[in-house]
Amino acid sequence: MNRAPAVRAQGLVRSFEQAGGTLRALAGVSLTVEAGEFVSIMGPSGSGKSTLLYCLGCLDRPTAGTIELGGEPVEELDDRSLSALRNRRIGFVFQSFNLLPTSTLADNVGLPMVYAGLSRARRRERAARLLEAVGLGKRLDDYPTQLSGGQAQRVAIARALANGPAVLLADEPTGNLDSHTGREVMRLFGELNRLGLTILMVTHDPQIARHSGRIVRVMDGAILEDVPVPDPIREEGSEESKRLLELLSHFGSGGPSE
Amino acid sequence: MIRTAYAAQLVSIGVHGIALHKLRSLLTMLGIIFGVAAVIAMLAIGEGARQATLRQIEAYGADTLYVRAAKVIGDQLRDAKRAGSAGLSLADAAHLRAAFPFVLDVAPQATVDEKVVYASREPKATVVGIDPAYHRLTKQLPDAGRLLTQSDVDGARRVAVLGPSVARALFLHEPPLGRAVRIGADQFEVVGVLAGRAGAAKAAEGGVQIRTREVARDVYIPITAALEAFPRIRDAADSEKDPTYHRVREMIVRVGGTELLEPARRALTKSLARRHRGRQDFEVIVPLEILEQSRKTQDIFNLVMALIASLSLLVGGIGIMNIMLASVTERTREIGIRRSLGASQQDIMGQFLVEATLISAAGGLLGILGGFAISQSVHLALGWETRITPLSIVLAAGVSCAVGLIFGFFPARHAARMDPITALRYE
Ligand SMILES: Nc1ncnc2c1ncn2[C@@H]1O[C@H](COP(=O)(O)OP(=O)(O)OP(=O)(O)O)[C@@H](O)[C@H]1O
Ligand SMILES: [Mg+2]
Repeated sequence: MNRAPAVRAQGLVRSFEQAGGTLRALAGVSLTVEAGEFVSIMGPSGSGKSTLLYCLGCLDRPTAGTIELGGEPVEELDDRSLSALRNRRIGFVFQSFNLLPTSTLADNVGLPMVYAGLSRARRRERAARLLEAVGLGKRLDDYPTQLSGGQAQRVAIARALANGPAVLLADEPTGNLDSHTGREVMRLFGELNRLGLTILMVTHDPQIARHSGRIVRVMDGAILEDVPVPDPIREEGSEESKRLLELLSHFGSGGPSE
Repeated sequence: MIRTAYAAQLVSIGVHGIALHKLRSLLTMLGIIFGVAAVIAMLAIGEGARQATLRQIEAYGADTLYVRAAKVIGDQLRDAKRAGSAGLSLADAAHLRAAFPFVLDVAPQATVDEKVVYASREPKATVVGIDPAYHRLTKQLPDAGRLLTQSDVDGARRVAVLGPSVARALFLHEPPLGRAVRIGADQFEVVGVLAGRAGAAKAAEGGVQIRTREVARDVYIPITAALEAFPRIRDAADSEKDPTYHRVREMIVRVGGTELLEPARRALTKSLARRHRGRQDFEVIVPLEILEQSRKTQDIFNLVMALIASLSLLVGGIGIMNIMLASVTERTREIGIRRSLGASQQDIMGQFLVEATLISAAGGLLGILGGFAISQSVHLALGWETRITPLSIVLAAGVSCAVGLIFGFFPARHAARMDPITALRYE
């Protein structure tokens, strides 16, 4: 296992030029997440949680400060290298699922593999296994519009895992789900985390945050407090999670096992 | 391996995008379709005309020129006759042969306005009085029997050589050789039947209209016999109807090389004008010059067509740009999603460029089919010869792909430069 922290950010500033002046969405955030940690980020709306996540996931560039992923600094990387990094090492999960409505589930899950250069056959085979692991193995050729919210989010999680990432970045993954389905997603996160996947999750829901091992509170672009969760909820693995466990033990982490 | 899988993926994304908006894509393609169809048809018509002309020149030789009887009407005809000109004559042919060392061969022709009859069958036929030089210059060969000879001409013998169609129409399955056909009041013995040469027959179609007669329907008799047997004098107001004027309708003159055509034309014109008492009752035609002339006409035609084609392609290109910009905006969120999953700016750029190129290439393909249809219709409706060359198809395909690339560039760059976060938040 890699000794370097999965994520290390120092003095992150992200400001937006606006009509009224400069808005600092991040005003000097320093955060270290060790490999294998499951961290919740909480805070009021507009406090900069999403911005932080996007910066850490190399989707946005901070105005100032440094980011290291697995010990490697990313400031100097060009768009191509950053994209490759995002593709192999990061998995994004969003509140609104963000599936492509006109593509099948298999194609949605296979999308990150496209940019990793996998052949169509390999993509489909792998997407089939991932969908199987999240309990949607029979719906490869269905479309996202035919899914419930919980199912859609599971497809999105399968997609985030497509290239065997080291870090999962989830922006309010349960925000659009009822509490029951939300807990299901948390069970999945728990299993993935136990497999060694580092997870950073933004949430408003304290109950959801209790599934993680550490809570970082953000306010006006700065970290307010950073505390461990005394007694994290560890839900027992369902059938699905067991399948996932089995599957992902083949995958390893940090890039597709080609 | 990775690259081909990736390229295949880009194409499949593009096809997917087009398939989602079939009607929109088709409408977008219209400009390209018309542009490419115009290019293909234009090149096909140009090439067809060129081929027809070349074949014709090839059939009679590039180093030939024609002396043709010009129409003389009314007072001018009376005036010319009074001055002592009888129009083109056999004597003119003999003079050209003797007077100019660079004239290698002269083939005079006299068309006879009579029907050919055998066993009460009168097929459509043209009776032409010739001498053996005509066979030589037009590269005719006998299929059966023999061609006309100098002694046929010298003796003004009543013999005939038939074109293959006429022979079939007159004799059906009888062997024609040795039988007599009636032309006017005289009986002519068939001594030969021409081989049906596709080249010679085809040369008469389209292109430069030097001869419009169908050779297969010709009946050849010695020119002397023609002049002797059909000397009827009619009172006529123009030279076309007066058989005493222009006993010879046309002469094919072969010179020693194409570089001699122009000097020969001038020398012949001068010499014949003197013999005709200064009356311009003939014209000297150089087929090669006509080819040049038609090439110039063709160039103007091509310029107009090229203008239409480029305008059409421009409009098509702008249409593609417009639709691609709409598509990029429509798919802003998709772009954000793809970026979040690891697509680079280049990947996004490539995706939209490929889509634009696919649209224009598909338009190009339909345009090529349209071009086939247009040139076929032109051929059927106007009788022009058309020919679609592989080069023109390659050109059309290239041009349509280029239009997609050029006009897809701006929208694709716009898509690639989008901020991923903004794109993800786009509703
Ligand atoms: N692209 C942008 N341009 C201008 N301002 C922005 C942009 N992105 C974010 N902001 C501003 O930065 C601040 C932080 O936004 P961010 O989305 O990170 O908040 P958040 O903590 O995720 O809020 P929420 O809980 O509502 O999702 C907000 O004030 C927002 O308006
Ligand atoms: Mg947010």
